[in-house]
Amino acid sequence: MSVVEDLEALPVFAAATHEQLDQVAKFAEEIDVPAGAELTHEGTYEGTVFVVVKGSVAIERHGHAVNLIRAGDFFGEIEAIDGGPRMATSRAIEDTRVVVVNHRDFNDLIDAVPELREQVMTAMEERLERVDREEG
Amino acid sequence: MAVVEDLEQLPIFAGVGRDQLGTLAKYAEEQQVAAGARLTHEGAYEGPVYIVLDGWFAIERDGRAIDTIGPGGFFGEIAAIDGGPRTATGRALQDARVVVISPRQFNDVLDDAPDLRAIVMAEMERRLAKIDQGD
Repeated sequence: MSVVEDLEALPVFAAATHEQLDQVAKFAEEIDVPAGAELTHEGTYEGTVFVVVKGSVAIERHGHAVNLIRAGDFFGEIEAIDGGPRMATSRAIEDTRVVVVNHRDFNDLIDAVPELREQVMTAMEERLERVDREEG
Repeated sequence: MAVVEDLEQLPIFAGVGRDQLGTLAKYAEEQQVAAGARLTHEGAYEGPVYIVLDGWFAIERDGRAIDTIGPGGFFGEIAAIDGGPRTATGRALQDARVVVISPRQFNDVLDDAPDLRAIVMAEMERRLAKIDQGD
């Protein structure tokens, strides 16, 4: 299946048009990540957002798991929006397929699709609140 | 595109002058890598440092994946700096393109570019700490 078809199949992108997703897919990469591998690294500056097509990814802060991202969900959006270093390390906990989107393409997409922007902002707020709650 | 232009576009080389990158590029080679190919081999004494231009690599220790390196990232720096055997295997997850730099050239460039040295050393320490933690 092509990258654009993988993206179109995800409910999170339901509000985006084929043309908008095609624009993202043109520069996005799909990678099959083996179980155990890290994808983001807490504290480092990295320019990518990940969408999980299949498999699952653990999100860890200070070495503790704080969240689990499953197929259809995304992670890495916080730094695309705030431009800061990674808040968390992410690790594939099974063989996992992700689509990697760079910050610019991601921001262009959420600017173009208000419904998606709202979903992303809601997820980001929920995740930041969780960090605040757990770390006081 | 010339190697020097590829290198100039990478954020990690932002603090490196064009002359220094030109010197680096003169001795560096671009290499196409087929999906599945291993560029470093855990335990082996082998020199080069790899900078990823396109594609993603899995980093494996004892046959288990521990990390991924994507475009703009680098690997192989630990052995180039400490002269020891490879701490991990780097395997292409898809067709990829890298710049290959000899350890001597790599160390020369680090000596001339303090900003780059700081980035590389910080990343190397982070990776070594993770290996210590995992083993």
